[in-house]
Amino acid sequence: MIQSYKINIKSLKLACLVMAICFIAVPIQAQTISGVVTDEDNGERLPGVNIVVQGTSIGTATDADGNFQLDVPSLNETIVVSYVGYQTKEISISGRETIEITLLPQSVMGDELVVIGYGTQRRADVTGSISTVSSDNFNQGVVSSPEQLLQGKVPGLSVTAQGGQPGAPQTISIRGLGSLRTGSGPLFVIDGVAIDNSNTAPTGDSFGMSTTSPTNPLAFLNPDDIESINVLKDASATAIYGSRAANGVILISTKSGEIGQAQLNYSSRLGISKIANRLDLLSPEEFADFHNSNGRSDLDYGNRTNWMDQILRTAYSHEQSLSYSGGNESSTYYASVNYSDQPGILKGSDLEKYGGRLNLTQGFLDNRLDIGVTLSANQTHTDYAPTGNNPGVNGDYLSWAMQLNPTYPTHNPDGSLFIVSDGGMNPLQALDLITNFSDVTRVLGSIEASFEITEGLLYKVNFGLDNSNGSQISQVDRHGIFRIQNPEGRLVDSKLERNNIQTESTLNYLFDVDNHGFDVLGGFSYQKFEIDGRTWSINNFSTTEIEAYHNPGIGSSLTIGQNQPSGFSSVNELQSVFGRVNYDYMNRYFLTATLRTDGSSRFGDEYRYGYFPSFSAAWQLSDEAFFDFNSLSNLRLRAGWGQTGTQDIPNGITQQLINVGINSGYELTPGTITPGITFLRTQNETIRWEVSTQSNLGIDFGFFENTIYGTVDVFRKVSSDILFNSTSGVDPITPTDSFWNNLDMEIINQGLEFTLGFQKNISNDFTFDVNANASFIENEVTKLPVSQILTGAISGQGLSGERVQAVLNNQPIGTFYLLDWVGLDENGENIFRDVNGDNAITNADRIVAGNAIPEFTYGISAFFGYKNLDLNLNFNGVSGNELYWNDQNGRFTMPQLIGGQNIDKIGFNLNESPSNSAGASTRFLHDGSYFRLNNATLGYNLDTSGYLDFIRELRLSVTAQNLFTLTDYPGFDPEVDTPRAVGGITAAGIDATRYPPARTFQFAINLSF
Amino acid sequence: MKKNIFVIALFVLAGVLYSCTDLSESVRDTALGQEVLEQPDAPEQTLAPVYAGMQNLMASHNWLNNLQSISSYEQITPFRGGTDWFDGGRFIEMHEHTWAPSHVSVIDVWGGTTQGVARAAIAERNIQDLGGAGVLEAEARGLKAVYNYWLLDLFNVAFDKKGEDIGTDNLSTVYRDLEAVDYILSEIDQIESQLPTVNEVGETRFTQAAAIGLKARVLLNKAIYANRYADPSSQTFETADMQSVIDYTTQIINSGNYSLETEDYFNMFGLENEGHPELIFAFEQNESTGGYGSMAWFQSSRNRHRTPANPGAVGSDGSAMTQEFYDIWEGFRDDPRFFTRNIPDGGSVPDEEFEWNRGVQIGQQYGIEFEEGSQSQFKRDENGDLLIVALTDFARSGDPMIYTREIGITTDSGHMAGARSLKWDLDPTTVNRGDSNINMPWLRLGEVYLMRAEAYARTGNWGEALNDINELRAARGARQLQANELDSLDEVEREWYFEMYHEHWTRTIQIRFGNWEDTWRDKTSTDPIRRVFPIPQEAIDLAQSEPGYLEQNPGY
Repeated sequence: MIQSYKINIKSLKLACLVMAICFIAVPIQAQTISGVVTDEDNGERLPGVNIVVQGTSIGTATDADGNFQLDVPSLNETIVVSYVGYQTKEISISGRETIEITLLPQSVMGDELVVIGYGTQRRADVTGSISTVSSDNFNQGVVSSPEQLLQGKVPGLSVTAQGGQPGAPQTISIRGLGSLRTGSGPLFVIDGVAIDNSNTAPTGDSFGMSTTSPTNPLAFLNPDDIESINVLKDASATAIYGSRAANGVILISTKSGEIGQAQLNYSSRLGISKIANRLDLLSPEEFADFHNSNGRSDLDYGNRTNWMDQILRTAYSHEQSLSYSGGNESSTYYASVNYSDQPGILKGSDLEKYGGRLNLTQGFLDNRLDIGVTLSANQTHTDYAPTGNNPGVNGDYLSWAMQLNPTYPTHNPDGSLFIVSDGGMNPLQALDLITNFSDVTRVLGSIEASFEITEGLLYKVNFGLDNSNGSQISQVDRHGIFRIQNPEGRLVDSKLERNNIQTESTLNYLFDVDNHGFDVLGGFSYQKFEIDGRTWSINNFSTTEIEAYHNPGIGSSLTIGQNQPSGFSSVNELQSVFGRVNYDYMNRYFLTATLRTDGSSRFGDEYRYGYFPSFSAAWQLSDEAFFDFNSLSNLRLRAGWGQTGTQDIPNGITQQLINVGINSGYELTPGTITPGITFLRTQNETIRWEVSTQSNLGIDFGFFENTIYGTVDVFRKVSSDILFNSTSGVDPITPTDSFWNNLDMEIINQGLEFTLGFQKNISNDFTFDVNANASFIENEVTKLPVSQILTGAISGQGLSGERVQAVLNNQPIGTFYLLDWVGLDENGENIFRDVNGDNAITNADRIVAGNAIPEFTYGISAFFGYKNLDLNLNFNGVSGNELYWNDQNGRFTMPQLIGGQNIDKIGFNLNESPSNSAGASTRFLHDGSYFRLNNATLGYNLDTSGYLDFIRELRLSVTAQNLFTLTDYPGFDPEVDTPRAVGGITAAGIDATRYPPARTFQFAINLSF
Repeated sequence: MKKNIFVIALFVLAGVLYSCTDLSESVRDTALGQEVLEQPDAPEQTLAPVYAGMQNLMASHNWLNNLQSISSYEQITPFRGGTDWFDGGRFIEMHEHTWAPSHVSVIDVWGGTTQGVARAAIAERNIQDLGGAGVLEAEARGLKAVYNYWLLDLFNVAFDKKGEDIGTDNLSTVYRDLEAVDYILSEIDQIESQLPTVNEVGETRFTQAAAIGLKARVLLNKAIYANRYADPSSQTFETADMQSVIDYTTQIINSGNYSLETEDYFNMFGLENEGHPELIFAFEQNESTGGYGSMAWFQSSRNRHRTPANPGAVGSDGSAMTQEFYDIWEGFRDDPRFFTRNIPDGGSVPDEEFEWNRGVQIGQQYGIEFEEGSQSQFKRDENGDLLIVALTDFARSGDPMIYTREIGITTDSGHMAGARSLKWDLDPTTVNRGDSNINMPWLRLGEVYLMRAEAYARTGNWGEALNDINELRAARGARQLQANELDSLDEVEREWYFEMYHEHWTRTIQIRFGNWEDTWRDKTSTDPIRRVFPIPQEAIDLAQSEPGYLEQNPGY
């Protein structure tokens, strides 16, 4: 007690001191000015506008009606008026006591601030290729992770859901695939903290069903908290992030409080989801008719069951989000809490999240010292349905619902689940017996201090922490179902802990010399990632009355073969020094140069540090005196070149690693297994960074006062020194089959991106804004030192080891490599093209049959505002790609129907031989083009003035997601990317028992006070 | 200003203190070396994985079984009913002799055998460095010869990797043809006397007798290895080599350490084979080290249960016997190696008496079946005994489980086509599906008798050949052959198949007897390049930087 009392006295003294300093700092003099701030275009009064006396910290903000009052040192001062979304204005008081201020909305190109690496920049000063999506433009509706907010919004950014379950991982790439390996996505930086975007939930056991990918690690972020997302695309923008930037950088900024009146926001949303598109399966009647007329009436068990209906449901999701924010001249705050529950359309799947965020800033020492704190804590609970991405021979919940004989009943007369005798599985059995859920708690926080040493010279230091604790419970009850493993019951408990700390210091100096503007940045960064995982299990439950995960003690069997505990642990450090110079002359010529030196503990002594430079320039042509085209209001040319790297490789690959394990053991003496010492890896100190060299040329333009605006970028990105895990070296006698090396090959991505917008306020009542973006990307692999690398595993009966894609020289990544199916012969048997003319159809007859990566990706968003009503439409689409429908290959063929399984009508062909083979071929390859109305929101802002004045905003809206899709693709959905890599080599465009996507309607109410 | 400096200094200090590192990597979950190798058991623990490398080679249905049996006229695995066992064409290409350097099984077997050589070389070096027992080092080198023998037989290459070269840039010496034969024989000669005996370590370790047997095997095939692509008639089996085969096999037979199985031939292919006196070297399978029962699972049916206790222990309707191979038993079907009955066709048996009929299965099959509406309880009679019923292929076609003689790639390719070999048992004691503790024989006395008989026959000593074969037949309970039933090499070859089918040797035997370019159903290729498998393309590609170091086999 005494101790804490003493501390209190001390802090009181400190507080007094601070207050005293404040008093001294504030001159005791009172000249008062007042006025009103309005929008120059429509005359609306603007609340919360920040007004500061230039060169001081004296300031205020307008009230709800746009009025302000401010004590100023003298009536000769200049005030600075700023407001988000408007151009900042400096106004000389010139002796006036009442000032009417009008603000111009920020032009589309120009003064808006763009978040770049380690800072912000005016859009007009940017020399690299950066796309910004602010919260106004996010996709609406039920959103479980931030990537979904961006889909279709950014040229060159591809976002593909791996499945339709809530929280499904998204495959995301910027400007094409630049690596052979999977998992090389962009770097995510949240409020300055570069996060490790690998899984936060461990993978569980599937008991012979199919493994579900753990929930997207970014699902923890509350979309309502996000202010803007900036996508850094070319090397001149990304090089400041050096070794992790080869696949682009995505900067996420969360909201902060604004100076002015406190705001309280509440939003409540209710969503209704149903399956968007059903497969065209034979109906129970059609199935029965076929077999009855085919002399197999024994396959008609008399019932008529739609198995898909048995596992599908209408899902009701809801989401509540509350935030309040505000600030005064020296501090701001933003706090939010949210809860959401998103059940999936397949029974048994659910994503439940809750979390909170606190973002604070506080100025000290006359605002020369600013301390900013962000802290978010989130809990994500996911229930996984017993289906996933890779059902093997046993099938899974979804595959059996698609395939099971529809004349079986679902239940016995006594109410118990019907068990089929033919070796198939009633999908409800899997739902009944298997429990699979994960819980992840993630805390992300940072504290940043910036200190203005002298005018223009700013020192910043930050500490960031990203900690997550994930667990996964997988349990199968004691059972008697043939298709599900572990009839004795089994519980697997896995844990995954990740801890990532970061500290960065930067020194930034901003100064002008005549017309030369300089912005110089130097910095140091250190980051450390730790990951630990542990798994244990127990088998053989004595009861089904209680859940084993509540009391694992009901298990009674532990064997080394079945229950060997396992774990892993790794630590990885990065240490970097970086610098950047931004220079401009007359605000017309801009140059940027950056250099980052990155050191990573993943590489050996010799190659531990990598150097990543970039240079770029821009020319504001439209500001030149000779530039005289009235209609062309903005024209800007950009050019850049730079290098970035990839260090997305496993830990420990440069070192000799030895494993001692029972798996490589042998019973050298009877009854005793001697564990085996094997080499996982031999030492290889020569491994170095994968390098990506990118050039970019861009034009920004605007016509008619920027009513029409746009951007065109062309780029060429060459990835070299490709890190590759081969089976051996020159000598095939290597102690390990994992041999990492940098290959002297190249992966080239080149393309063209553009955005084109049209924005017009037709009248005070009607505004119109339409924006289209598109990108064309060409990918090519060259100088591949091996003949081919097969990848793209498909699954299903008879298809083990089948690969449908290959990495080949002079072909893109994602190339389908297949036998060319010509049709059926007179016996109803396949005819394949005998490409090499040897009269045999072998793997040597495979052809380059298509590519999974779209040549052309586009998005269109349109906004119409009329009085209080607004409509927002977002379309997106791709073309020039193919998809491989694994389900059609593995499940929907005539032999499957003959054998008593249900099929999709695509496979129904009476001319086909009942035993015609279904090996992989172009028969199952489909055009993957689609055009989709991804997101449509109709909103109405209620005018409450006059009767509910305390309500600042009351908005009602309805959002439809996935309203329609135009496509020839016959599966559930053409936006599909089931993870089917082999040996870590990227595969794409394979559709295998994917969780079907939903069509969702969401009703929302937003209230601001 | 002072204050400013103070604040800056504080920040800089905090930033720097928190963050300076030399970035040396710390690996936490995997041993880097020294400590592991300093434990007292380290020599044994580096030897163990040399043995463990045999697991997949011997037990997987698509490793040696594919390269040695499905490629030959012993087995065929069609695209069953158009829905099963295509697996990227790996079995069809193997049977049709259209495999390429990218063939999955070729890659797997190459990887397994080359890794075996490497593990043996590492063990050799570690045991030397650690001062481990000489006998362990000898075993490692012996196993290196075992892996190299597989490489020689399949790929016509052997790699001399010296223990001391592990961890250096020195490349292995590549031997081919006769040089490879000489290398393997000289390796064995150098370590044979240091190897343990079966009485010391049992039959699941590489012993002196196993080494002698390996030499006999190499010499018996030497004519082929010396002159791979020659016309069979010009591949000459030197008398001296045959005499050595006779000497080595006699040494084993006369050692008194081994005796032929006389009661039930199939005891050598089930759980009873642990410590079996006929086995000279067998791979010790253990479920906790990943043992599995693919040989039985691959031939049996999806609806044929091995035990009521583990409903998952069933077959897969994969591979079957070719009709030509089934026909070699014409006139010899009373041989217990062809078929041994253990349960009746119908009626009921108590749980403990239930097992499979063994050997070659054809026609209507009988066994146990699930009760209606259950996937764990079996049909029983009123006494609670298991009902033996005529089986049906419920899992696929719904047809009765009637195995037919006829089987082909394009026609007769349904789930029930082809006679099945139930030579191997499926372990009835495990809980999980295909797990197995059944050891896999690599060399047994039966083969030693056959090697000697063949060597006698190739040197014209038909009387001794007949004696050896009749001694073997007597042990098996098969009828004795008359002199006129064993007076050609074809008849010796046939005895090899009766005894050694489904043990991964048929391709080698067929090439040795000059029949590899014959044609049989769905095998029309007659190109002698198919006597040797290609080296996987990736290995060839990766060796490009040392021109001439590792050449692809001719024709690929």
